[in-house]
Amino acid sequence: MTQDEFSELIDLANAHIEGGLEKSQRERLENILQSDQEARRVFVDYLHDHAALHWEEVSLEGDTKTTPSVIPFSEEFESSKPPSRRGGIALAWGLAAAFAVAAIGMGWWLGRSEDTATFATMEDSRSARWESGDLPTSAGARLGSGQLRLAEGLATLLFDSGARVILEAPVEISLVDSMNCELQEGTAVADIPESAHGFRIETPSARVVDHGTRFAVNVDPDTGATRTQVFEGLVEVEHPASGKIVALETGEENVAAGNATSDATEGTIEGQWSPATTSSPISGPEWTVRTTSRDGYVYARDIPGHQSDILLLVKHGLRSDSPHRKAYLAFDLSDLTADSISDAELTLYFSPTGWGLASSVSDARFGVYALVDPALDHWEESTLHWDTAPANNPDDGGALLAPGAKRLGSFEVPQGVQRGAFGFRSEALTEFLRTENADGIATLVVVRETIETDDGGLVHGFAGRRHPTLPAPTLAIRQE
Amino acid sequence: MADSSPPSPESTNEGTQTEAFLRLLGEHERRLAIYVTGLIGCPQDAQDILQEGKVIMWRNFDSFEPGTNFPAWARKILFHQILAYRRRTKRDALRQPLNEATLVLLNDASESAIREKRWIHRERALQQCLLKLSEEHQKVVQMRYRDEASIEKIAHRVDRTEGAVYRLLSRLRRSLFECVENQLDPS
Repeated sequence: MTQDEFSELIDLANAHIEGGLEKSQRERLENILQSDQEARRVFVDYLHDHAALHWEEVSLEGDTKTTPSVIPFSEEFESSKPPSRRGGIALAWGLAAAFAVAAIGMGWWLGRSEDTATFATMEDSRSARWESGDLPTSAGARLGSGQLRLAEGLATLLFDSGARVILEAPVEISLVDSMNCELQEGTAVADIPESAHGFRIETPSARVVDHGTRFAVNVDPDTGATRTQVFEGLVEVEHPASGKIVALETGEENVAAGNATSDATEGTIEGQWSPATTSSPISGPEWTVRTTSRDGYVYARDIPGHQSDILLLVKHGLRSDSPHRKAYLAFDLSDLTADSISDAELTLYFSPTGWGLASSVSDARFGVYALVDPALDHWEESTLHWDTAPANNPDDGGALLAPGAKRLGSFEVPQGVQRGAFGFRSEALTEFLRTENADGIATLVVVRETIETDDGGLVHGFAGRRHPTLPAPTLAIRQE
Repeated sequence: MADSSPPSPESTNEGTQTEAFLRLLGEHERRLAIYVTGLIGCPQDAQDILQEGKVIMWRNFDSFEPGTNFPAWARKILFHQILAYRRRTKRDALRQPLNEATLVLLNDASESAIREKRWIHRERALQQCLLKLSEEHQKVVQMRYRDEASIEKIAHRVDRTEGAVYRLLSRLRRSLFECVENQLDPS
């Protein structure tokens, strides 16, 4: 730390102590403290000296109990504490008050319900099978520090800090507190709101510090190597063995193992994420954005309780009688001039369904079809059914029938990823909208072409138009 | 109802519990107050947090294992109270504490200072450094810290502007800090 940096830090610390930090100063202070360990050391020691003086752990009267060399001014000031070392009286009063509050109603020894030892909730553990571990595993259970071992399936933990962590079996994780966990092996996908910036996942080989983002961490059970993949935002991967810190941004990944950590590299998923990451940005007056006017999904077999009103589910099962699902999306473009369309992108906002095993589905390819016969565009949400859905091939969980439907292309969602915006932008889509969509109603159908490797594989889902928070399927159209 | 039944065996047990709690709290409360003040800055707010924290500690005292580290257990509870307090005061621009990510990092730094017993050494040195101040400066420190006088009142008392008192206090804290650093590591 240079002398100037030290002076700046001390000035900010003084303003902090006197309660006079402006917003910009506070942000500056937070910045310095977050990026510099020595600054944190100086700051906590500086604040400690201040605190020790206030609480008279250190005072001019000191331990020697000599007569003070200065005259006390207590009579002149409305001090909230007695002039003696306040450890005695003031704190004892506080204690009595605390005791009185706790004892009210005599029910206090039963009423220890405000449990601060817990700091997270098991939000969802459907389809999960747990192994040894010392924490409760039922949905809704409150969790404190301890160990979880998920043998199969998926589980979602919601930390009190706001951090949401999805565990992908097989995984072993220790919960430390609402801002920290330790991933011994397996995959965790984290979704971190602003309230939980700084959330940390420690692994045997690295420490992954989040700065507001969605990211996945995988720890190889054999080598302890840590692979970190950032879908959106910024993450820092600290590698204690080398002392190196690698910052990962949207679409980047790196691997920390043994005594080395790789630099940030373009993730394998680059280009499939949200429109913001595509080469030519989608913005400007020539772009029109439409969401679905109708949407729904069809299923080959009804599994009670495994349906959703807000997500559109897509699945391609292993067997002909598996509960396949396909999603139908209708966009009303009748007010646009078809001839003028020069580019188009479909964006779907994926969200975990909680059903099926992610480990049973590898990187998933989704096929997008268009209904080219205008007569097929008039399906109703309420009557959409597997056997009668337009152009559906009821015998194939991952395709539609020609000539009514035409395959426009595909996009991929990596294994273990269940949320994020996936964009599908293609010549074929543009061409369809421009020349083959005479009635101005475009029906697109999304199917999963990748078949699960075992029964009970993951059900993918993306937000439909009834989803309360995520955007509906979105079609961005460029017109010349 | 459990509430109204005569609490005979429990009450004996509770009596021992209460005693154990009060003894531990009495022993460690000042250090806990210093810990909270170090993270919050404002001693009055720290006192409020400590107050609430003590109630939570008492309610959860059965989760404390006798013989283990009480102050560490208590600090964990207090840190949660600090975060809760932060959420409550978020809108109050000037009282707003540092953001959660920073608090988490500072908490780590505090914990390692406690582990290394660094603050115990600092306090010994600070005692010496206080005595090196001029009498007038000692007086200002005493007004600010022992008597908890506001800057406004000190300014009135010593016949200076508030700005001047603020700057003087800032300078005094800094020179005490540098004096302590020097004593601990004279290099």
